[in-house]
Amino acid sequence: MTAKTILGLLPETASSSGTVLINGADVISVSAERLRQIRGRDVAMVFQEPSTALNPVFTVGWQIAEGIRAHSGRNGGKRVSAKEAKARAVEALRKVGIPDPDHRVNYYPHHFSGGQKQRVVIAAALALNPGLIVADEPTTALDVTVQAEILELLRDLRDKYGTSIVLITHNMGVVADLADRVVVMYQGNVVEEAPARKLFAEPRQDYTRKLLAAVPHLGHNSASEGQTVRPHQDAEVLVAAHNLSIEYPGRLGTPAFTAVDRVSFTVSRGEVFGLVGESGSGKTTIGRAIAGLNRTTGGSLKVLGYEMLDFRERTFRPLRKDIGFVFQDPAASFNPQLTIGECIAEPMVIHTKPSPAQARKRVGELLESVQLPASYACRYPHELSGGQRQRASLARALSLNPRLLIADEPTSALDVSVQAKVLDLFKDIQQEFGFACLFISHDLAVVDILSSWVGVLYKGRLVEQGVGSQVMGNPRHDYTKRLIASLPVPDPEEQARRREQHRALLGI
Amino acid sequence: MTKSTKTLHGAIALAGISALALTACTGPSGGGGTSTGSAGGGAITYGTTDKVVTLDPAGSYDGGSFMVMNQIYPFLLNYAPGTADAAPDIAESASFTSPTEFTVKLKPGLKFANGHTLDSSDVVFSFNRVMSINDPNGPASLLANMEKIEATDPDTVVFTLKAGNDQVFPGVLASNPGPIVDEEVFPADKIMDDDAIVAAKPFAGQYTIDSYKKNELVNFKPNPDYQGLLGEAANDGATLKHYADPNNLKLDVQQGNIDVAGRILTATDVADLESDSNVKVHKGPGGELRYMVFNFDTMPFGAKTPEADPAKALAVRQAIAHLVDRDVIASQVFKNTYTPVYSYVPKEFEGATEPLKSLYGDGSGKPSLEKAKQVLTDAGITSVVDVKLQYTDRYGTSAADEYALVKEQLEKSGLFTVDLKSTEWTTYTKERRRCLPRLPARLVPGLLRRRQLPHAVLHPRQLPGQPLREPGRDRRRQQAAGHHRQGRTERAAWPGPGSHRQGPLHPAPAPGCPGDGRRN
Amino acid sequence: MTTLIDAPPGDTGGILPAARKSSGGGLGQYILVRFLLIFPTIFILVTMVFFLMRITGDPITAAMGGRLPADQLQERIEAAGYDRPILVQYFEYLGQLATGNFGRTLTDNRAVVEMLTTYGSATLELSLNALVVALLVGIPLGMLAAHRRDKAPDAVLRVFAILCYATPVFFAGMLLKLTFSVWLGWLPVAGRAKTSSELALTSLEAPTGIYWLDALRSGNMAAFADVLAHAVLPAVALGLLTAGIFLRLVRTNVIGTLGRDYIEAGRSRGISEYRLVTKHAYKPALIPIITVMGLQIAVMLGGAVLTEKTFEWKGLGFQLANYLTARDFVAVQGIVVLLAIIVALTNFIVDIIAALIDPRVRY
Repeated sequence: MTAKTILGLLPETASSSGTVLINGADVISVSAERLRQIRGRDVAMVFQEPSTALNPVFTVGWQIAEGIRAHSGRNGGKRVSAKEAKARAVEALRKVGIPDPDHRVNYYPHHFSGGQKQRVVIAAALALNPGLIVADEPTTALDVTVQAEILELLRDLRDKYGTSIVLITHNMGVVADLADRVVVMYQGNVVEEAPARKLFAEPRQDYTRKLLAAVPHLGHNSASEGQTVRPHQDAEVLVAAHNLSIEYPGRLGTPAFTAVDRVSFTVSRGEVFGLVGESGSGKTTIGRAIAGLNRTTGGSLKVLGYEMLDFRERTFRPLRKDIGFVFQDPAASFNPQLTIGECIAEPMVIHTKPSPAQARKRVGELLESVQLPASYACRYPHELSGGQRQRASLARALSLNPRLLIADEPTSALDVSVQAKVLDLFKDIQQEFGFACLFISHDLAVVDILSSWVGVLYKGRLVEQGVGSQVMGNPRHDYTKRLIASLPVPDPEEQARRREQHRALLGI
Repeated sequence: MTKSTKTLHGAIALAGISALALTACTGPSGGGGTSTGSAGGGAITYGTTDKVVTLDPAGSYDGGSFMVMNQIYPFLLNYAPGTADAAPDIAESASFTSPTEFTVKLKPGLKFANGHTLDSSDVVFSFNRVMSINDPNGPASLLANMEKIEATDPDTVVFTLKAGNDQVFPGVLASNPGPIVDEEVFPADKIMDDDAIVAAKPFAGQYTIDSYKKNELVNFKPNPDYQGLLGEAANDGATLKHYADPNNLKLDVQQGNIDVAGRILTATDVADLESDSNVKVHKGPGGELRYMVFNFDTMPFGAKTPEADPAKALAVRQAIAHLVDRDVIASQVFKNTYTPVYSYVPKEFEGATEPLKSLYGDGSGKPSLEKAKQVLTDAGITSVVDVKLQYTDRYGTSAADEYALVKEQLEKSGLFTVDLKSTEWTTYTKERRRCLPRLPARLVPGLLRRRQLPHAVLHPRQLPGQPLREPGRDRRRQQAAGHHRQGRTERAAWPGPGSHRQGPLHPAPAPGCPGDGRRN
Repeated sequence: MTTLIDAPPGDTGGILPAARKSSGGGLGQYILVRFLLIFPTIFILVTMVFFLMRITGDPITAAMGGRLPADQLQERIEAAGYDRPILVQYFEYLGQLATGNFGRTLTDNRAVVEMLTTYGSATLELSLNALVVALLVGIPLGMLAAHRRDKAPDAVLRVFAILCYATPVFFAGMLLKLTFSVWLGWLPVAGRAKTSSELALTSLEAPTGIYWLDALRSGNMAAFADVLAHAVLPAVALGLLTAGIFLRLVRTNVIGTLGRDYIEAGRSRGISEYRLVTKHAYKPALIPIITVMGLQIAVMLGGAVLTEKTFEWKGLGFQLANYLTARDFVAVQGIVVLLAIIVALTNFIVDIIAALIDPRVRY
């Protein structure tokens, strides 16, 4: 919100007061036309989601040129020809490291990968050499390895062109990596302002301290700290994948897409298996396959002794009550027309057909075990906060005392402090109930907190698995190394060191 | 000009009327009263809602097609403007040479517009062709009395008739089966395409067709070679424009987009046009009668009903005749574009009287409740009689209003209850045929007689120059005529010929329709 | 996606393999696939039309039953081959269609193909005119409504849109006629041209049947003006129906697009509001509109039946109504099949246009 105010991009429903001075002009009170002139020329913006910040039906070059031409030819400015604008767009693309910009200037956004799109967005921001770039969560939608590259780029811009950057993010690692000075905001107020190193080293405000404590920090708080062998090895194997392959059939005339490629692993009773991977690595596909929501196409996948290759809904159904599933987005996984209680009771009603009184009692117990008041059973999903919903979702998954729980990115939609609480709760419940768990996440630090045994997926392949602390501390596979090196830790000093290592790794 | 109107637009229109409309519209009493044909020059545009089925005379038996045919094909006999008697057209003479022989002598040197010779061979070909193709849409039935036709020399043909002294026959030759076609152009055994006909120019009527878009636009040019009865065209040409919506026809004539609006305008439109100073509405007598027909089998006390009683049935018919108020129907429904009629022959025809006027109602044309009551009481009918009345809107959108009014009039008397039904045309035709099984030639086997008639049979919109249809074979008139044949119907003939300058006909007085003796 | 685990981490810096594929022969392949899909579509439509028409019996009985004695009727049925098994007739019909033979109408004995071309051109002209009206009215007003969202102009335009598509076509036609022809007298009442123009245009060499085109080709400017004057009311009556739908559609889509990040991004670069609405938001918003437009063609052809009747526009819809009344199922079948083919083709064309506008559609 603050970022949008800087550019006067607030929706009409918002009112603002005070002053935002940009090169001496007050954005809050200047005329619309003057504001338009400020935008792009004095201040430019980089958005969170690069795939939506680019117009899909125009070439990237055209879009960059539009910004250039919007500031030409008026108020005495020199008129910029289409050709010249395009040349400058090429130049901007080159600055942000798009290879072969002369050619790619004519590409459409969908031709670029996510990281490249973000570079294009940055190029568009750079096109008029603004003194200030406002970057609103510029890496949140990106994978860790790509995030590292974008942060590198932003750092370069600062160093090479002296561009000021207002970086807005919830990710303390990103702050630690890039920021010189930090302002902490809470509920619309500035809580604390300090140079980065000082803030991380000696936060003065309670809120800041709590916030920093809640941030998962790779290597801290690991579930497998000090372990060298896999726990629960002797327990019953609940999930056994052997050379598991999953393909999605291609559309007419295109080959099938292999989402999971010859993956082998096991999950034993009482174990939390952490599956880490970037977007598109196939981790969710594996989770869905185990839950019987996706068909497997090769190898073997035994879930609770059931061979999923021969999956039939009818024969698998009795096993469904032993498998719980927690979805990434708690908002989407609840039927908005049902109360939380009804939602939680639903699996019970289907599988065990309890009496209403029994069901109510069980729902109460479940809510209590996820630390929600039993009275929440009567509320509707939209009346709960994100963290509460995710707890309710957990309660639902546990309602039938499953032997196996699949949690697909259960905390990635939550704020850092909420995430920490949910993770704690999850850990407690897992120990209490003793179910086996497949914990899927893109966040290495989160996985490390929960899982003692971790697998790393890359493009459908399980490239490495091992005891969590060992994988994190001493990765053997190149990809794992890169992944870990890319992850910024919320400590500027440490992050600076890691950055150097990262550069060495990439041979920069 | 349906029901009554002919509208003119400006001086050119007058000229046009005389040429086109007069040719087209021969009427018994001076027709449209347009005798100003000498204005000469110019072309006129005539709008109509009629449709052309085909230009091939063997394949059509309808007003819309005949209207065009009458302009372009030669006839042995035709009606001169303002007359009701068929006179030689391209024939030099035509007369009965014996009771069963009708001999026609052609004028010499006749040619079609395409240069082909027109001689007796073409004439023989034309009539035989109609008979042999015998198209369901065609007029072959009108030639039922023709046994054979022969050419005795290039200029002479002799028709041999089955029944002697057929006074209708000359009229037949001037009607739908009458056009003489070019035997070098038309195939003997099948209907020819309109576009092919136009391309081959087998025309020898008053006009030739210059350009033809079926049911959209037909452009006529005077045929300089025509030497028949109708004489030289009094204009430079005429364009026939087809309309689907009578309202558009009316608006276009009002705005001057067309010179003449012919059939079919609604009564309301006519009334509206009469108040428009730019448009002149011509009214003339028409040959159209609207009447109800009773089915003697199924009507109350009819022959096939459980309480069959001819005397009571007659009383019912008479009571209805006493009750119907023709004036009210004519003024309210038809805005006086129809006039009451008290005869089987419209009074415009020579010698027509009004026998029904004194027979029914109060004796001066108004209804009489007392007489209706009386006639029923005399016949011993004391209860309310239930009458089933069926109509179709084929003959104009006013039919619904018309029959609603009849129902009201009958029920107001307290003597009748009326069950009113409207039937879509196709169903109507089929059902009617089932009810009339004894009709020759077109009956449908498997007779179901459940449907009650009174039907409303409306008398056809007559088309210019199809004066004498042999009534029994006219699809639209068949029912009435058929009943007559059987001597089993009677008609309550009321609002009659509004006005139409034409058609000497309606079936009743036509010779060979014995039925009209049988009246109540 | 065959990249091995050990591939260098550079893929984020390169074009994705899948994306690269789409920029090459994708469009050609897309068009080919879409084109081939037309044929099964038409085949299914033709089959449905054929069997639906036959549910009520053979065409001869439908058209002439009750007017012919049974023996003659039977004779005709046999002569036309309608007494054979329906599947034999069906395959024969397919064979005829493949060679462009649609048979002859029963009631007025015309070659169906000739009837279709004559009236088809009139309907084509009307539909094109109406489409122009729909686009000229619907798109700018929709953009205006989106731009002035929830303000007075928007409210007025939304009511206008509802009136447009809720008013029956024939009623709109009558109102327009009454107002502009009868009361004001500015425009002709009905028809496609004055009699004189029509005569001139139909006597041309190889006329297209599209009057304004014929008038232009022959350089007959008087006829051209006349044809345009006649075209206005029918086009408006029919076009407004679709214009209302376009207006709503454009409004909704432009509003949706205006809420997108890339518009915000454009705004953050200092691009003016006007240009954002007319250029940046317009093109992406157009994609769903074009798709719906394809569907609207079918609606428009349906509306043409009523419009043509109201305005004496002698086209396919007009003829369809006539032939239906006369139960001439051979003619009806011909018209319906043609309309089906037109709808299938239009959707194909619309898909192609959408693909050309939207670089992502191709696969």
